[in-house]
Amino acid sequence: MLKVYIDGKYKKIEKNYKTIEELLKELEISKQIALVKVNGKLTPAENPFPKNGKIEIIRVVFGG
Amino acid sequence: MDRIKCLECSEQAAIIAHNRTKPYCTEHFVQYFEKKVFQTIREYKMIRKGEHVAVGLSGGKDSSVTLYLLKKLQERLPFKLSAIILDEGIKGYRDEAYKKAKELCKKLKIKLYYFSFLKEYKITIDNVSKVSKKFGPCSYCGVLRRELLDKAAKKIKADKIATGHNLDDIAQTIILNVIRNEPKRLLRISPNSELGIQSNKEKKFIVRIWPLAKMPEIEVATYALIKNLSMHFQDCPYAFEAMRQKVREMLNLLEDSYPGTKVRIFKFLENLKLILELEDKKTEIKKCKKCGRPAALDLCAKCKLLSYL
Repeated sequence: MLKVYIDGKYKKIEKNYKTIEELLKELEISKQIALVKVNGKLTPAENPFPKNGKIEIIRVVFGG
Repeated sequence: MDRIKCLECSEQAAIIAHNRTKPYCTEHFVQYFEKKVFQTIREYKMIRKGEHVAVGLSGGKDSSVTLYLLKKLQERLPFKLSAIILDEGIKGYRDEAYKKAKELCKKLKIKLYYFSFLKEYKITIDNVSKVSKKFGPCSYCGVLRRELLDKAAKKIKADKIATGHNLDDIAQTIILNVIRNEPKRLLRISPNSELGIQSNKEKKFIVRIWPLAKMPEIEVATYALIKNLSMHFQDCPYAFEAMRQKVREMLNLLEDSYPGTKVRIFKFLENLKLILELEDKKTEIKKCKKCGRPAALDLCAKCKLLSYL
């Protein structure tokens, strides 16, 4: 089972994507401000969409 | 479809850096990032032996990474390093950031100096946002922060101020100056203010350096996450009011479709300065009629803004 977290909050995703980038596009989150972790490891958005485990999307804040 | 591998080893890539052309694992990304920042510092002659550099520390990722890397640089180049934090008076935002800044300075054993808008100007940005009709809170924040950072650096006898301005910030500033028809301001943009057009040769303002000038924001964030630096992961509540946020969104959309857009904007300005071959025309620096500090016009930007409140 796949669990997706965006900024720490769980989001139910029922669709299958080819890459994590496709999910970001659908969520209207630019790759330029999104750090992606799959099962705790940093991963490029261009990587294939995992079938199970945990995806975390961390949005980079402006300023600082 | 296979997972992307690191360019330098057989490990899985953590990030695709350099305009999304170079995949790196965490270890090789850190090497790439640090090398590029140190190269930028050298290229723009940012720090000399024996100087005192104060980092404008907000507790956010950019200034935290700047401080961390300058601390690392001290291993190769002897100079003094301090940190300055400014409290603009934004409730629920700066208090948390200050905690993070203190943690980081304690960890790196760097002296942290605290200055506040309330003590220096008798205002807070929270108050300004309620009373100001002509200018938004970001206008006040930007101008007063610059002036107070200058004042603070002089007080602690720093030779230079290092801030966390990254490639995204610079590309946004270039576009903002074009939109606002501010060509003189545009030409002053430089990773080392000592070297810019209308440079600071008279030393009336403290020299400012941007060690992260060539690093995209996403790479700075990645480095901060990998290094587990104390970071403040919260947007300023006023950030979305500024035109800058719109420009940021536009540039990110363009960068998604056309990787390298931000680098090309930065290089455009560097090349423009070369092509124009403008002489370093010194703007006559006067004294503000109200507070006596250096100013280009009769009133400095700070006194002019405060007069509207």
